[in-house]
Amino acid sequence: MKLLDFAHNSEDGLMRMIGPHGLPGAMSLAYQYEDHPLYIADSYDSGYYLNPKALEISRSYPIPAPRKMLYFMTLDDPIVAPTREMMIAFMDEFKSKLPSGVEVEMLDAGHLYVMPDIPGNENSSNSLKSSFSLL
Amino acid sequence: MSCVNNQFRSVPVKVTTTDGFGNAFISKSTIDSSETSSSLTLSSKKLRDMVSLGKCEKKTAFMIPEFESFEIDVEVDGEKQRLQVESGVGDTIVKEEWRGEHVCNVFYPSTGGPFKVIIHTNGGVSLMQDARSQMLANLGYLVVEVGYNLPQYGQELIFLRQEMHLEYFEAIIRRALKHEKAYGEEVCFIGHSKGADLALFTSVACPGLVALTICSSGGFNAPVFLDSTYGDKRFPNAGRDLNDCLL
Repeated sequence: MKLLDFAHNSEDGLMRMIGPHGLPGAMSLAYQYEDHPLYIADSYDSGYYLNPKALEISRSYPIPAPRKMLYFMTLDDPIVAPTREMMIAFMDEFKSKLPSGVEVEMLDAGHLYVMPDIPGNENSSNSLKSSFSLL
Repeated sequence: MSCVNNQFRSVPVKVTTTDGFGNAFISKSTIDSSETSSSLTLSSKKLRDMVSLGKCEKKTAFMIPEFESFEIDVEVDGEKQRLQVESGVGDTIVKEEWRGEHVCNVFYPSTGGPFKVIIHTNGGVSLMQDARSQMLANLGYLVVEVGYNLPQYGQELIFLRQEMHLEYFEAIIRRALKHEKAYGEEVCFIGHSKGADLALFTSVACPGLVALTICSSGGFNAPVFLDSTYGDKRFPNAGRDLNDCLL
């Protein structure tokens, strides 16, 4: 099945993806191990669950071990997992096996959790009358 | 600010962020006046939270423009203040463009140095997303924003490649460390989304060059979409065959 089989035209002209059985989170279907999707669903009501076969294969992949790493995994992020529960369940696979120097933090945030255009350099206008100021 | 019957009152706050395309992202909230001083001070955390939660007033795809400038209008209890947000390029920081074999934008403070080096890879969209690099440069680092999926600069789309050669990032690290404003023999490599696995597996492949790796929101134990390679090492991907994604 092609990923774009899940794409649908929307009223605003944008193409959006809807997951199997009408579930949200189709983008995360891009994750698969040796042709086995990591997240699967049998019906709308059952929702997603981790594919045991994909998990089994995943366990054969070594956990990367850079010298020191902080990894922030986002929970409300359909790019990496269809639901926060799936993200937590998947990362639980690694929690007890993290190499020395590797830390993982789960963030209650979406994919672009830091607006990429947050101030690099901010200047407050002095021309406006103001009785408050920004720290 | 006023207190009514010795109780703090709720003060309305509205933050409107306008990007370089004129899209306005609006966020409304309240602050308890206990969060303010007598001069109604809005904390930077509150402001950042509100900017992050801003909703666009019209339906639009969430585009990430190459950073130019932003305006943030803050309204607290009916009083207004405007913040003009600039990158600092040409003022507090310097920008260099590398094109050709390496496609990078390099940022570092205008004065002082040398500076510790950060290598930064963003997500896989075909844009040079400079904002975070500019922010880090303003904090005192030499930051190399690495392009790897930019056909406008002669690069092959990642969706059409068979694999990603991590030697590309290694060469950029070595070049950055030779920069006249660079300090040290190691870098910090920061990556987001597709850039996260590039940072991660380059760090694994080149441990002598990367002292610290910071990743977010990407593949954890495997690259996404396409394999990464380094010499005869291959890091197999955990992503759908990209040909499968094409119509």
